[in-house]
Amino acid sequence: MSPVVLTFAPGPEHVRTARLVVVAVARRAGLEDSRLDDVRLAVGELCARAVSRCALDRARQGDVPADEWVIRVEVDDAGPRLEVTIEDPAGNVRLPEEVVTKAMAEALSDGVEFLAPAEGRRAAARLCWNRLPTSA
Amino acid sequence: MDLSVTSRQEGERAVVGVVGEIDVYTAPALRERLNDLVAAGHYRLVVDLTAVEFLDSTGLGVLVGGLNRVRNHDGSLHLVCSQEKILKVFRITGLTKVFPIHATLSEALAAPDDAAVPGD
Repeated sequence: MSPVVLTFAPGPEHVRTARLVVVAVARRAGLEDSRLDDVRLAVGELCARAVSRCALDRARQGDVPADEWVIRVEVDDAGPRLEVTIEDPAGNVRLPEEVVTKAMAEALSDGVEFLAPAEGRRAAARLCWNRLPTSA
Repeated sequence: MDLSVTSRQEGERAVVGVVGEIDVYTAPALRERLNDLVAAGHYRLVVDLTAVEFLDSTGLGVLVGGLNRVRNHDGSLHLVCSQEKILKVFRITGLTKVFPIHATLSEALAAPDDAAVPGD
């Protein structure tokens, strides 16, 4: 199945929409019910983080074309794992409350990685969940 | 608005009832209500999260901010929550050690201000 992609202007009012979309894809992809709340929360955290990063780095907005000043969420359920990538256009900014957000993403997913923005690459956070229960 | 916040007096406690989703968008409304209550001299608060469907770290930050404010006045902030998905947020952030959390409102109202916070 091709990935589902959602882009939105970096406003806090859109984070709920992103949560709803990702959870809908995760449910259809067959993720266990017990993990859908984890997906909702982890994706909400990282989308909120992306919104806050953009707010903190508003000075950069003028340097970026308007249609690129967006948060992009991609949900890929093609492989054995559900992968959710959240990209934002902000630069190297550090949020004061980021430690809690990262710890929550770690606790709620089966893996999370953070990619710093670099030349030609936007900042990204990637979450994944195993679609099948891991056997003991 | 995906969040409703109400408050009422129950004996010596101000009970804040929260319904809906507490996230980066809606949390400011809860922060404002808690700040208003403290500014009006209410230092013994119970925040009822029974009807909360979602809580993120922004919401946790607001609750911790409220706790700090009432503590500056020797007050207290108790929570009511019995839903596993919301309790999990407090557990994974270690905040079960910070807030007294009760399963029901009547239990919260009966608890002493300095109710011991159970270990995790």
